[in-house]
Amino acid sequence: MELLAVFFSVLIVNNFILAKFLGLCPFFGVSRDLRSAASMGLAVTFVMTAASAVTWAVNDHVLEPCGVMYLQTIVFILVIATLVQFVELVIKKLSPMLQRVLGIYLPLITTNCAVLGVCLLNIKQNMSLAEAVVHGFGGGLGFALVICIMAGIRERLQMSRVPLAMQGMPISFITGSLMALAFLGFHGLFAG
Amino acid sequence: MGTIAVSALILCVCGLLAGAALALASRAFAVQMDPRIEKIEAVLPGANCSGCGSPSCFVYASRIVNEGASPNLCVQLRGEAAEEIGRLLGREVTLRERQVAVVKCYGGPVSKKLFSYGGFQSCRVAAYYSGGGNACEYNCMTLGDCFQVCQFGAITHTRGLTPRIDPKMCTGCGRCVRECPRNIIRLVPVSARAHVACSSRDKGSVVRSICPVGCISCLKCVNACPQQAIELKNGLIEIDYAKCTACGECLRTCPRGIIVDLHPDPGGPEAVK
Repeated sequence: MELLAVFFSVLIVNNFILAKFLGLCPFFGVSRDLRSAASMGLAVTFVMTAASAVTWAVNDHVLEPCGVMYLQTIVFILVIATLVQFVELVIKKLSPMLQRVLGIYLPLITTNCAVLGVCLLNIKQNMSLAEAVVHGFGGGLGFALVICIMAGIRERLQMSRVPLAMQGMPISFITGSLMALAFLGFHGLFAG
Repeated sequence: MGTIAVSALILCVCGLLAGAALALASRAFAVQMDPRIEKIEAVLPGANCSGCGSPSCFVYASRIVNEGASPNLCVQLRGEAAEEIGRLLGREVTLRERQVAVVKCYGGPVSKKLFSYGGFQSCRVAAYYSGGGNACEYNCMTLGDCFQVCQFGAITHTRGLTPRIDPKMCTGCGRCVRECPRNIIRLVPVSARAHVACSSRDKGSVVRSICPVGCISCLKCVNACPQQAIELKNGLIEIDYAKCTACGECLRTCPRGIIVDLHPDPGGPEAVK
């Protein structure tokens, strides 16, 4: 039950993009068409889940015993980058299909702030391993959800008349902020 | 001091472990790639124009090696490069003639308008709104989507006029052909001379009422051609360039003046090859 609450809270209420404003570069950079947005979302979900588990273990078994919790950020960056490279090698060997889907998106998100953010939040909120993994998975799915919605809207935007000064990024920023406002409506969903 | 030393030590150890793990993994999960793929990719133009049907030159190179795709699908490959690929593969490569895109309509700016279109300035969008107010269903809407997608700067376009495609710059990648919502851009061999500048499948009387430069399917050119290279197929006049000898008979016969020479300058097609 608690896991479910963690999952849904990070999926919609505390969505990484729209509530915590993490991972905004891919949100605006890769949301031009639905296909690449879906691939990106898939890759982020995958990496977030794996990174949550691995960084939790690293924190629990290396950083805490050594008493160097202040190294979290830098060690996590290192661990995530290694993990993603490793996963890419494995996928290349074992599943060319999956590699074609995730393609360039996997290495792109090695240094994504949403991925690092989920790992640091796991530790900050004193989560157990199971909670951390669910938190990462839900966060990734929330990211995929929002980036896909955004891509759908932007595909429609291309077909509509936008004043010259607002074309391209400005209208995307405004769209993004309106989506954030809409998601704000979910706040308090788990409070009562 | 101690804190710094411990931090540095732990970080170093972590880094070393990560490096070692990656090194081992790259050994364990190494993927054997045909070295010819890399060599062929180096020969290919690298424009990733997708004219061959593959999304990028690398994918095309791997298709040539792994799936036996024909090496002469590349529209930009010139003689020597093609021979080089043939050498790498140990097969004979025959070059095909370069293709260039031509617009089969001159009537965009002059044909009849039903209403003045003020919507989004794109052919793709205008096609949804009753063809942007054009009475002809087959004409050029002159909003220049083809110009937007051309990667080689071969298309010049002024809004309201039919885009012009420079055969010298055109590589025949076919992007504009796929982009055009009216399907009126066609790829022809660069040596092609006679060109019918109309895509209308309407009846002659309809065409006459809406466009001063539309084909009325009078079949004068079909009958005039000494080589029988011209045919009426599915309502369109088609020229078989394998048979055409560029005698110019059809140009003189056409009552609408819409069969034109693609290479009117002295020197003919040789000048743009």
